[in-house]
Amino acid sequence: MYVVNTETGEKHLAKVIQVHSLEIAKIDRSQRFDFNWIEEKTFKVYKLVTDDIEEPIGLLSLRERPDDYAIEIRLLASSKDNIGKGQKYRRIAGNLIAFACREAFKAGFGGFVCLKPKTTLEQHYIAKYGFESTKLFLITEGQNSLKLIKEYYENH
Amino acid sequence: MKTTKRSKEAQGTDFSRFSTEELADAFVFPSDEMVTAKEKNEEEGFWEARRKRFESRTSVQQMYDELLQLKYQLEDYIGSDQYEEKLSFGYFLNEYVSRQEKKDKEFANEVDVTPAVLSQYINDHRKPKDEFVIRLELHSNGMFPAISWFKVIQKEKEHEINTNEELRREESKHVKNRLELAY
Repeated sequence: MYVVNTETGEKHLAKVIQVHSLEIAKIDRSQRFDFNWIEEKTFKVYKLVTDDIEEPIGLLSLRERPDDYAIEIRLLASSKDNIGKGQKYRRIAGNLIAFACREAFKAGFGGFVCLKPKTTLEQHYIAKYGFESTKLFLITEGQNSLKLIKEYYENH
Repeated sequence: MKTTKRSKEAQGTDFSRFSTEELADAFVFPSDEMVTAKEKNEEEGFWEARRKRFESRTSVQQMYDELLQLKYQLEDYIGSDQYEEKLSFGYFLNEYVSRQEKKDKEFANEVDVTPAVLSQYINDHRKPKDEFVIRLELHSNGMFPAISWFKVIQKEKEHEINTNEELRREESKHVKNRLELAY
């Protein structure tokens, strides 16, 4: 898994690590991320870090739904310095979405991941990550989830 | 100083500065709660359909999902610093065979070893040769690379070499004139 430095084009190895309550509070206080991450403490929260920078550049909150054989992406955010044209690294969201897909295979859910998109962003998730639209959720599973894992997780 | 909700919001990103593409590239926004009964019903309908579809997977699809599950469990294990006695080469091999609902004899035939040899591998009574892990890669059509199997074996070896006190005692008599430098 890697991110790309937008300025130099260099690849930096990245990894996803689970973060626990105390660290969530610390990250939230740092104000490097939008949204209230304290509210996500009851879910599984993960950070994306590069091999050379300790501070997270992306955060992800997942809700496991074992009764529905699914993982729901509740919230995902790149750090404030990684939004829009001035972003330092590319591929942050893709890496985190691919991670969610991999977790959904590991849990035995056939790679089923869903999210409730903001209506205006829906088409971008479909075009970029191959999500499929249902009335309420965008979903990815099976071959599309595998494709995302290969593209973002395994492709060095 | 304690951060109040208001001051935190003031320091939040002004999302209107970004295009929808840029926002989708950086976020999955929190979703609105389902408020009306109609919305709640729609959501329940969605999950009900999901459950039905998952539970009516074909046997081939089910096997495929279970093998991918095993693949990622194996990868996580070899990538971690933890050693677990249960997660041996034999354990993963047995899972690989049983998740395909194959009898040991049938699988042994597919990878050209005798059932007795396969049984020794599964029960961790014999270390597999390189040829065998290559055959596993070929049999899985690359889903389980030879290097992954090799790393499981390697992990067992690392644990053994780290913890084998008896061998240390035994080998001690062959070592003379040891360094007397503190370490």
